[in-house]
Amino acid sequence: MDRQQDIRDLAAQLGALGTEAFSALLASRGLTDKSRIEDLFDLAEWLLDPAEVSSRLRRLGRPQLAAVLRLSSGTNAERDSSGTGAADSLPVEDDPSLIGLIVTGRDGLRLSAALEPELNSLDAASSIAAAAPDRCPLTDEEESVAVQRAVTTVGAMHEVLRAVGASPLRLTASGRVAASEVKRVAAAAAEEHDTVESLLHLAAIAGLTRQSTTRSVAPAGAAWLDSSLGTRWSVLADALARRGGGMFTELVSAGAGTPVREYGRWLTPLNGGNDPIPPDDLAAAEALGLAEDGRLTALGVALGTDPAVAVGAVLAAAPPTVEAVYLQQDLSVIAPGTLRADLDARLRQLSDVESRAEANSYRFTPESIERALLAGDRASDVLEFLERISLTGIPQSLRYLVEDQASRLDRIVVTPAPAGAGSVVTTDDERLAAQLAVDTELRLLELAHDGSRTVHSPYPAEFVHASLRDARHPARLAAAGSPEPPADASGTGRGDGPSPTAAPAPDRATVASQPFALLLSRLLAARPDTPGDFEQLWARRLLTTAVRERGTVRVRIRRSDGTEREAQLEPTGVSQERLRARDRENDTERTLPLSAIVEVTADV
Amino acid sequence: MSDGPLIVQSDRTVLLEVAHPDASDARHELATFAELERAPEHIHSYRITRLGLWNARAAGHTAAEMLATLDRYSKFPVPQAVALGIRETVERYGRLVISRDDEGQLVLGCTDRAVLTEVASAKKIAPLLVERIADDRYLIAPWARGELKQQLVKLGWPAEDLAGYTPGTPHEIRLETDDWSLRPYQQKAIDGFFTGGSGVVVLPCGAGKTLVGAGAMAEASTNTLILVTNTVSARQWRSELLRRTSLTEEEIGEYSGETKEIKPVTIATYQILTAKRRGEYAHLALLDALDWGLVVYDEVHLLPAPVFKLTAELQARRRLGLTATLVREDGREGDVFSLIGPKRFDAPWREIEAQGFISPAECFEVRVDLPYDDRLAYAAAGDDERYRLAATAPAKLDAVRDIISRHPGEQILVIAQYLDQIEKLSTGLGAPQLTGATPNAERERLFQAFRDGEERILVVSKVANFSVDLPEASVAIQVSGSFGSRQEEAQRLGRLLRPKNSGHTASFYSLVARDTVDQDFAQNRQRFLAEQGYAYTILDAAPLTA
Repeated sequence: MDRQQDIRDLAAQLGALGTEAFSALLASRGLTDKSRIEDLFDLAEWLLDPAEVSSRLRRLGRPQLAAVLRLSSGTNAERDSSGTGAADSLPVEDDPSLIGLIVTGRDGLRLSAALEPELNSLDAASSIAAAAPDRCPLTDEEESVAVQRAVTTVGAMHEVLRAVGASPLRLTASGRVAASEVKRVAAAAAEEHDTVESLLHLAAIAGLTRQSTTRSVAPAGAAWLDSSLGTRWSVLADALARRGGGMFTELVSAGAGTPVREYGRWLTPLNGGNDPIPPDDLAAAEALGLAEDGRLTALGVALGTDPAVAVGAVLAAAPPTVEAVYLQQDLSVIAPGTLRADLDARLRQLSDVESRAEANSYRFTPESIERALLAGDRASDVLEFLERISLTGIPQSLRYLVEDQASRLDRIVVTPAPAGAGSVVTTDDERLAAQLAVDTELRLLELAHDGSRTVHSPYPAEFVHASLRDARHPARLAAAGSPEPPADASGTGRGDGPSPTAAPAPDRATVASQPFALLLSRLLAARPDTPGDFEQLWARRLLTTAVRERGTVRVRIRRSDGTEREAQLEPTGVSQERLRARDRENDTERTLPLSAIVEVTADV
Repeated sequence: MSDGPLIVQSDRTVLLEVAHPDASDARHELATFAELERAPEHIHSYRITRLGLWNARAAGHTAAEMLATLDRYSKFPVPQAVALGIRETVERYGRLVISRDDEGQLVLGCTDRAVLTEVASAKKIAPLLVERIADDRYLIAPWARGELKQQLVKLGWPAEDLAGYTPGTPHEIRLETDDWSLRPYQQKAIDGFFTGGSGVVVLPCGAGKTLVGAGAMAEASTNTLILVTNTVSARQWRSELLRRTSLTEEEIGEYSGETKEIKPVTIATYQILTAKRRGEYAHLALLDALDWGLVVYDEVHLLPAPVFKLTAELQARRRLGLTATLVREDGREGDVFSLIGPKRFDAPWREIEAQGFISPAECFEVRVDLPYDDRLAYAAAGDDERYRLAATAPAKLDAVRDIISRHPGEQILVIAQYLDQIEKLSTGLGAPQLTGATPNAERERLFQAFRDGEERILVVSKVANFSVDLPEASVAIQVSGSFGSRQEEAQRLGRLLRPKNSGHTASFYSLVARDTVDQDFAQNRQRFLAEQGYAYTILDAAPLTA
C-alpha cells in the first residue's frame, strides 16, 4: 500500500472516532490549537509522517508492540514472549498509540507504509523478550505513609486552588506560570515552592485550571473545591491514571510493589531506556499515594481495580469531620479535625487559614474581620455564627475585635468623583479629613481638603482606597452616589475565583480547558457527513496535493452525455470549484468543474 | 492510639487539648521532645524539631519512647511520615562522638564509616580535623571542639560530646539551707544538668534560676565564672550567693566596667567580655585568669554573638545556661544547643504557676485614643518619628494615673523606653525614676526602698528588664517599649511573677496608641506571652478613666 492510500484509509478511520477517543488521541500526541492541521486528511498525514511513526514506535507499549509484531508476521508467535496476554484482546484500531502505525483499510488491519522500514531497522522481537522487573512489596508503614500523603495533597491542592481563585496567575511569554506567582500561591497556601509547582501541574492534568492569558480556576476546579474528600482525591487520581495511554492499567496488572520507572521502561522496550513516565507525573503519583518510594502502592492498585476501595482507604486515613471549633483569646481558631465544608467556607470569610493538616487552624485579624464586614456581614451575624460553632464561647479579645471593626467601618468611604476624574474621600469627621490631608503616608494621593468632611484626590478611587488601607485607615470603596459598597468590593471571589454555591458538577471530560480544544472542534466540524462527501473531500485532497507537489493524478471524468473517460492530469490549480490541469496525453491545458470528476487516484 | 488529648499532625506540630483528662500526663511526656510553641487557653501547640529531638536524645530518651508517647495519647493515628522522621532524626544524634584517646587528644569517632566520611569531607568541617587516625576516627584540632560541634549541628549530624571537662580548681561551695530549701523542680534542674554535663535549664522568670545556678555551683564546688547581662544583675547574683551559700565577700569578685576583681567565684558582664580596644577583645584574659571548672551563662537567650565565639573555645569547661526562653530574636538556637549544650530541664511557665511557686498574672492591652492635635502631628510625621510620637503620647499619662488608682495599696512599676517620657511620668506621678544614668548605689537604694514598701511606685527604664528582684511588685504598666521585642515583654511580665506576701494577683498593662504603629508593635510584643498562655484582655482607656 502506498502512503496516499494510508492517508485515505486513516482519515476514514479517524472520521469514525467518537469525540472522547478523538480527544484522547490529540492529547496523547501532544497536539494543540497551534498545530497546522485543518482537516482529517491533514491529521492522517501528520500521524503517518515517518518521524512521528518512528517516535511513536519507540514509545510503544509492550502489548501494542506485540500486536504490531503479530500483524507484521501474520502470526501470534510473539504473544508468548511479550509477557502479556493483553495483546490478543487489544482493540488495535481504537488504541490511540497505534493509530498511524496500524491502518484499517477495506481488507482489514495492516501496518502503515511508514512503519515497515522502521520496524525492520529495530530488533523488536528480541527487545520484547526481556523479563519484567521484580516487584518489591511495600511495608505496611510505607503504605500508610502513602495514603496519608494523599490526604495531605488533597488539602494542599484545596489551598492552592483557592489562592489561584483569589487572583488568576500571570504567565510568562512562554506560557509558564511566573515564578513570582508561584511564590505568591506558596505563601497563601503555606506550601513549599516546589510543592506548589507540582500541584499546579496536577491541577492542569485534572482540568481544575484553565489557561488563556492567565491560569485560572476552571469550572471543574470550582466544583472540585465544593466536593467531598473522596471525590476530590479520585478526580485527581483518575486524571493522572488516564495519562500515558494504558500505562497505568499495565502497572496495576503488574501489582503492588512494581517499580514504576523500571516497569515503564520495560513496557516500552524500543524506547532506548528513556523514562516513558515524566518525572512530574511520577511525583504527582507519589503525592496522591499511588506510588511510594518509586513503587506502585496498594492504593494505586485499588484505584485501577476497585476505585471504591481506594476512596475508602483515603477516607479512613483522613481525620474526622467536625462541626465545632475552639476560639482562643490569641485570636486563633482550632478545628480538632476537618471542619465541615460549609462551616469552613464561612469561617474563611471571617479569618485567615493558618494551617491545614489533621486539624485546621485559622486566625482572626483586623483585616479579615473588616473583609467580612465589607462583604455585607454585620457584627451580630459574625458573633452569632461564632457563638454557634464555638466549643467554649467567644473570647473577650475576639468580641472586642469584631465590635471595634464594625464601629469603624464607615468612617471613611471612597467613591469615584462625580465628574469622572479622580475620587472623593468622605469621612465622618472634619478633623479626620484634615488628618488624611496631612498624612505623610498618603502624600502620593495629593489629597485636597476643602474644609468639610471630604477630601479629593486626582487618582482613581480603587488606587486611593488601596493606599488608605495600606496606611491602616478603615476605608470602604463605594460606587459613585451609592452608600453601599459594590458587591465585589472585598476583593474576594473576583474573576475566576471559585464560587462554591454556583459551581457545576465536576465534568472530567471537559475539553474546553484542554490546549487542543479549538483543534478538536475544527476537526469535528470538518468530518464528512456521508461516504459521498468523504470521497469528494478525498478527491479534492489528492488534487491539491498534486498541485503542491507538481505530481500527476489519474481521474475519471463524466462527460455531459453521461459517458466517462479516464485521463492523466498534472493539476496546476484548484479554485472556485474548478480544476485547472495539464492533460499529459493531449498535451493541452484543461479546466474542469470538480463536479465532473468521478474518481481521482494518485499516480504511482 | 486512643481518644487522647493529642492531635499529631503531618507537619510535625502536635496539638494538646488542655481540658482533656489526660492532658497533664500527655504534656509532661511530650515536653521532653517537643517544643511548646503556643499555649493559649484551650489548645496548646508543640512542634517536633530536630533540636528538640536531639535534646531529648541527649537526655536519654529513645525514639521508641517518644513514639510510644504519641501513640498513647494521640486522638488519630500518628502520621507515618512523622514516625519515620522522628526515628531518622533521633538516630542521627550520637552516631558521631567526640572523645579523648589514650593520650588525651580529641577524636571524632563514628561506627558508621559512610557518615564519618560524609561529614569529614564537608567544606567547613575538613579544616577542623587534623587527620584520619583509623577507619572510624579522626583527630580533631585541639582548638576546634566547639566549632566542630557547631558545624556538625548545622550539617544535621550532632555529635555527642564525651570528651569530658577540666575539673577546675576545687573550691568548696555549700548551700546554706537553714531557712530555705530548693524547690523540687530546682533540684531536678540541677540533677538534669549534672547528669548531662553541660546544657541549658529553662525556667520562667521568678522561678528561681539564680538558685539553680547556686545549686549547680555547690554541686561542682569549683572555681566558677558567672556571665550576666548587666551590673545590677551582677550585684543581685552576688547578694543571692552571699545569702544562700557558704561563699563570703572575699570569695566573690565582680568583673565589670566599674570593678575588675578576679576571685574563685567571679561575676562578669557580657558587655565587659565583648568590649574591644583597638579592634581586639580587651578582657579575654579573664577566661583564662583562673582554672574555671564551671561557667554559668545567665539569660542565655541574650548571649551576644561574640560570646558564642568565645564560648566555642571554652568547651573543656562545664557550662550551664539559664534562661526563661530558648526563643532568640536572632534565631541562633542551634548555637546555644551546640556550644552551651542541650536543654537539660524545662518547666512550663503555667506548670510552675499551678504549683504556686510563681504568681498568676493578668495581662491587659489598654488602647489610648490620641487627642486631635496629637493625631495631626502623628499623621504629618515621617516614618522614623512615628513610633516615638505614638509611644510617648502624653495622653498615656492619664491612663497610667487611672490604672494606678485601680490598684490601691499595690506596688507598681511604670516602665518606659524614652528618657524624656520617664522624666514626665516621674514628675506627673510624683514617683522616683530609675534609668541607666542612675548611679548603681542610688539604684540599689531605690530598689531596696521599693522592696521595703517605702516607695510604692517606681518609674523605670529598660534597666529593670532583667535580673532585678522586686518580689512585691504586683502591677507593671508598660508605657512604651523596644518596638516589637517579644522577649522584652516576657521579661517585664517576669518582674511581677514572684509569689507575693500580699496575696495580690499580678497585673500587667501595656498601653498602646490606637491606630498607630504602636498598636502593630504591641501585637508583635504580645506574641510570646500569648503563646505562653497569657491572654490579653483589651480595654479602651476612655471607659477606664470614666
